[in-house]
Amino acid sequence: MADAASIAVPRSRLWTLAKKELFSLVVSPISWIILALFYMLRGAETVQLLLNPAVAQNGDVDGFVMGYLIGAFQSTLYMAVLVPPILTMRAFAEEKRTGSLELLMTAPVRDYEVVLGKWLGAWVFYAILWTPTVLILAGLQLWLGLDIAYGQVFTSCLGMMSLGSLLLAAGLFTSSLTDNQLLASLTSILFGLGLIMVPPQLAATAHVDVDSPFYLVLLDQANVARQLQLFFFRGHVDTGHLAFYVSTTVLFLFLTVRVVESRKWR
Amino acid sequence: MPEQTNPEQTNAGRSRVEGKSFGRARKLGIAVTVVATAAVAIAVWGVLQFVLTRAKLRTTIDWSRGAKFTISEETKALIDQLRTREDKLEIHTFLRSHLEFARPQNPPGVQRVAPIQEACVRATYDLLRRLDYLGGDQVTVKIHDIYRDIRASGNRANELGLSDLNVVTVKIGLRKRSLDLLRQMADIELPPVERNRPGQLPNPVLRAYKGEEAIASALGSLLAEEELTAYWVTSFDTAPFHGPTGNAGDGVAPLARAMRDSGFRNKKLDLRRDANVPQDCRLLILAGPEAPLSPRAVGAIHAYVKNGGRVLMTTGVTSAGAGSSQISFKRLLQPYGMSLGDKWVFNALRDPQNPTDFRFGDLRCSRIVVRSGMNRSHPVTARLLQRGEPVELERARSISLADPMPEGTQADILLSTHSKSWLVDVPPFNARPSLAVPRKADQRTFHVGACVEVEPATADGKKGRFCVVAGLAFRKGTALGNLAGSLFQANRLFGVYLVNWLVRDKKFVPVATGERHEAKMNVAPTQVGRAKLWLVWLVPGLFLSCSFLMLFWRRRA
Repeated sequence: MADAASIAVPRSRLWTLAKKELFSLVVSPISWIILALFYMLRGAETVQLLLNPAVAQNGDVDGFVMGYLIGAFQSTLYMAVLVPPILTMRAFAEEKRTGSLELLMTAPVRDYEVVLGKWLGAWVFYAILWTPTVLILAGLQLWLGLDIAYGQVFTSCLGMMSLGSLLLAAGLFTSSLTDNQLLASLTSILFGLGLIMVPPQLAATAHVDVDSPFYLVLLDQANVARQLQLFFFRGHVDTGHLAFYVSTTVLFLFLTVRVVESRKWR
Repeated sequence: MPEQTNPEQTNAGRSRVEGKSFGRARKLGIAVTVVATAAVAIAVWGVLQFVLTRAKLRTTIDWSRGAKFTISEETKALIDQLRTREDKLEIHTFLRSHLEFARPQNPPGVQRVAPIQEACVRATYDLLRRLDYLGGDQVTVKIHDIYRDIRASGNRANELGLSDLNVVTVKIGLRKRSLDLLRQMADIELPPVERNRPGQLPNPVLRAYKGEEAIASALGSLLAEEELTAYWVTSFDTAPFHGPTGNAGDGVAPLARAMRDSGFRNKKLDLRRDANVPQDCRLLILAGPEAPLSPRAVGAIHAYVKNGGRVLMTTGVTSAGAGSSQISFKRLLQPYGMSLGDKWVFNALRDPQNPTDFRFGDLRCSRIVVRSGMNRSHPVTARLLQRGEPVELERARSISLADPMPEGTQADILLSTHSKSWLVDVPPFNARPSLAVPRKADQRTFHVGACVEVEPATADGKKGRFCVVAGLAFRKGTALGNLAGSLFQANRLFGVYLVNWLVRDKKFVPVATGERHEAKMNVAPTQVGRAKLWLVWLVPGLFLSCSFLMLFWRRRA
């Protein structure tokens, strides 16, 4: 019987791998360009929101915060879908192409440590990407004197981080399947867009009386756009939704580990 | 010459072939293992979704301002009760869009309600979503789109007996309650007109959204009702379920059927044989008794009402006239301060072209049409008035109330004739009543429907209710063959509303909703200009300069 110490992930090794991944992302000019573009769009949306007299004069602060977090053109959702593939497309595809993955695999690290390390590094960078959103909101609070409910801001960040973790794991999985970065990122983007767009369409045609409860549950769980807009961005968290994000992330990471492992056996 | 073979070479070739096939088998094995584990993982993931979303395992965390998404403990207790009893709750919504209120062609008063409608609709959907999650399999929420699925939602609204839209209907089995969004689920304040601005109407203010309280109260009432059993007294020559010809000509079966559709269970009761009204009786119906009621039966009914029982009595004048049945009715109604006249009530016919013009001397004057004489404050008649549905009675007799009323009773007149009504002697069997034009002095208003509430015997008991409709109202045919139109068809809604009101006690579930707290914005245009500079240019510019910095640093490194 394996003892607990051997099962537990060695934190130092995992953190080293995560730091390496994070460092490679931080020093990449592309990452900063993404950040700049993202916040330019977000700033334009916020100004658009403030230019609306119904919002700026006697508008509801909670509504403004929600509008700010989602984005006037729902850019948050689309950025949330586009950014993780860009962050993860290199993870395995680039290493496979250059051959550095074989080198990494021969190092005294386990496969799941490599996968987890890469995912963690990307996730931390993703979190850094969202930090200015909260800082800007705090700045707006000080400057415009808004009475902001930070519970709502916290749950919004939780929602974005949960979705990010899922999409990063999915991105790692697609990256592990191919050595073509573009293909990996495109597949991952398609998956993300599908996740945002397909379940609402299916939910609109689902029939509570007719369709199987299993299908309805899956549809409801996978309807991430609805979950974000009706729950997370409004200060409301359903543990059922969190379970979906965590379990799906674990599923993709598990599948990635299996794919990485299968390279050794070939 | 036979070619000599090197045994070593042969073995190497064999092992290469074996290695190739072994490699292929190994690859196949690995592929199968990978696919199988992936399939198992996906299956486990699917099952996990199903398990983790069960109502017992999931919970919600509310960090919104004022915890506005939190369901109260009172409502949770009701949902638990629902689960324990394995009852299924259905909630149907037929809500109007605020845009419909905001149309420019609407009166300004309606347009001003649009923001309140929008806020209430949003709050209702939030509430129903939470109830749906909380209730799990026990609660089903169906949102009917009255703009897109016009036919389907219209049919559903008809099935639920809705007279108007913008309502939420709460339903358990056949029992249901409908709640008007703006009247029952919201506390709207209309500020008074300011003195210095007499022509300008102030905007209504949504003080509190009370949807949870309204739905919880409706749910509590439905759960308290359990099974509604109505007992129809079959003795004392009460009206048969089916007419004498067996074709339901003048029977009361249509009312029984309508009651069944409303969730009632109909049973027969012979009060000559049974000494008491059964314990499970929620409504006792005395449909047109013609024979005298026995003192024992009268005593049983009195005891039943005293203990919170509900009675509906319909009685029209009969050719047999007054006599001993009239005496027994007097004994029955005396404790409730009511007495019945023994003459036939006629009313003049209104001219449809000119409602102030009346016609006399017509047999159709015997059909009492109550339109303006309905009680505006009573829930039953107020709803009929709202829908513009009159009540029609035949062989009507007058009801008089005692002055003062007996102690512990409170009377409500439900139906009164118009002022051009008079009394006619009941003719012998098969003879026509007198159609002589009455003297002006004899024309007046008569009460033809009343309800008395009786204080309970104990402090925790229910109020008893005794309702009299003094005329034939719920028969399928007409009492007088030459009058057109079925009585029951004309009074269907009246009958359904009345029996439902009689048995249903409103249960109020107090839910702390509190005042609406909304943090408001007040941003000056100059502040927007500065926000634009910071958010659109400076912050992104900072990140862009970081990218150049990284590029520079990498090139140097």
